[in-house]
Amino acid sequence: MVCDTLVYHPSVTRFVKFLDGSAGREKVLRLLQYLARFLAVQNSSLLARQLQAQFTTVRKFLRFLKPLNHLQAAAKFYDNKLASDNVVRVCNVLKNIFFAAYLSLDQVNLLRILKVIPVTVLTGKKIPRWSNWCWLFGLLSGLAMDLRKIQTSHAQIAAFVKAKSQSQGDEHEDHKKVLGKAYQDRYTALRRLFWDAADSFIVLNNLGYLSSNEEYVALSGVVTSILGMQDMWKAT
Amino acid sequence: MSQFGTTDIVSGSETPPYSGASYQDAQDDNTHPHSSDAGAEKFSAGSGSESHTESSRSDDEDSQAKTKMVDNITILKYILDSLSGRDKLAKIIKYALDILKLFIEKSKRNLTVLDPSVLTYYTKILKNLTVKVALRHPITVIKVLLLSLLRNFDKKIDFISQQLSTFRYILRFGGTPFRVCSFLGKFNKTRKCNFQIDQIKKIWFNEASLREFLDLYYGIFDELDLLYKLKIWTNKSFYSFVSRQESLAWQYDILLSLKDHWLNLQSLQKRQLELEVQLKVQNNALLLSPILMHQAHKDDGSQSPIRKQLLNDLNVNNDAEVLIHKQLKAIKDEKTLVYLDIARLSFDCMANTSDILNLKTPKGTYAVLSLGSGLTGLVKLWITTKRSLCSSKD
Repeated sequence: MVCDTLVYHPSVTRFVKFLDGSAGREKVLRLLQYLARFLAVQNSSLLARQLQAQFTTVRKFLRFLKPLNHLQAAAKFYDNKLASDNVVRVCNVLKNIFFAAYLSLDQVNLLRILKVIPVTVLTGKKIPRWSNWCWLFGLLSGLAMDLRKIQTSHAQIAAFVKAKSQSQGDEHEDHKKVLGKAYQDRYTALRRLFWDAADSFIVLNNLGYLSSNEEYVALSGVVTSILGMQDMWKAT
Repeated sequence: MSQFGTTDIVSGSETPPYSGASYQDAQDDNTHPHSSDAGAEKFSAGSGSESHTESSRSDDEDSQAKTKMVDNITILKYILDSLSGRDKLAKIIKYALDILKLFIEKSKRNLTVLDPSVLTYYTKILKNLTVKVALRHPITVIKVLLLSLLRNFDKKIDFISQQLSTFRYILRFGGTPFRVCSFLGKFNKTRKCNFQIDQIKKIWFNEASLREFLDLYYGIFDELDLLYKLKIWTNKSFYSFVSRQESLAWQYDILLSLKDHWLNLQSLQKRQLELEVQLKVQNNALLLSPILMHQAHKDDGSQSPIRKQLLNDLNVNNDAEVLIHKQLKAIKDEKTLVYLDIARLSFDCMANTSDILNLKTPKGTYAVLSLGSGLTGLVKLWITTKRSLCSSKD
């Protein structure tokens, strides 16, 4: 009985489909990578450090040609000149361009790890630093967009609350739906803000502007990986 | 679960450790008959909807337009977004590099055999490499530099090949817990029937259960192999056993898939023959119809309404002919996919057989066969992706 329930449960079917995609598996490997990093710091484990390196390499394989997706998205946002909010549109364009640059430079990192290109000052230090800078600017664009969305949603909520207090007993179903959507948008933007802030924490430590303990960096990676897996799970 | 583990340990102790050649990765998830059937159903449904087109000319133009809509970049993007696409590309790159490595080793050997002094002066020249030395001994310096370059490539190719192998293992990882749950579900179903022999035969003694068992058998040892590669466990004698069992499981899976595809091919050929006979009969009927019409005009008085209706039906029968042509095309397309699968599985079977039986084959045989398997798999994947994109754009 328990086995039947487990096998035919919709969540199991969904999880199988989640793992069958390239993106879902990449998110799982990201979680494993940062968990291995955390364990490496906690236990001074050589095995965990080796696993971290292995998962990092495999993730870079899985992200091959992913810059194309971001460039396509940037072009779409740029062409959408009729968007209601130009600030959000510009932030989306910048975010996708920076992420495309980050992933493109990451391909160079992969080739260096595979020893296809030799380790020099350029490939060993400068390009990793440039890729982290691109990741940081992409995240900053995301942060700006999230703040804008929070501001917009909050303004909508305030307007509806004021309208409700003025016209007592005159609530419509449409108003409730729009108000609910505004609350949902604000929550989504806040969640994304937290996500981008945690990723920014990771990249600032990579660049050396922050010098937090590595275990905190690893835990940030675990948290952002879980958030990413949640989004992929909903999309499945 | 514990009983299964106990059985595994007992069988492990009974089997002598395998002392063959080092195991090379060429495993590939074979196409199951279910996906082939699903593809067939999809395409037959598509051809059914296409039969409603009014004229064959506009239909041909539409099909050409649909084919042109999907460009190669889009197909490549879809293939790379899927795990199976990345697996095929990784396989092709890995074995292409292995073959390249053989050529490099051959070049190194030729270089050292023809001129033994290269090895003598190798380290000396590399340490004191200047323009003066190069001008004094140009041929020797060129040979030394070439040898150094080849050695460098050799090490790099080894590393990349190993990384790609681990990458492919990780792509396959993760399926075993679900297969175990499915198997336990079946066992639970058997227990509910109070172990009646008829029910046991119905549940267990069929191809689907055999397929599930082989997938579980292969998956367990494949994932144990990956965990060994990641150094999570390090027992070398047990690794020999695991490696051996993985090869055997893969061989059983290949043979079962080959059998399925062969039977599928036979049924497709039978259907094709039936449709061709039907088409021939209709063509003969159409050839006879003008003669009958001519005679009908001569003997106008004897023509009955039923006879007239039959003659009209014969002339209007082009729709059926168009439908038969579409079905024949669908069958030919499906046969192409089956042939590709049979070729791929044959390559895998030959490669794995040389590994299991420890055959003394020329160097690179395994890599060439595996490269052939990867390429045919990629061609099949390309064709199926192209067709699915064309049908989705309708």
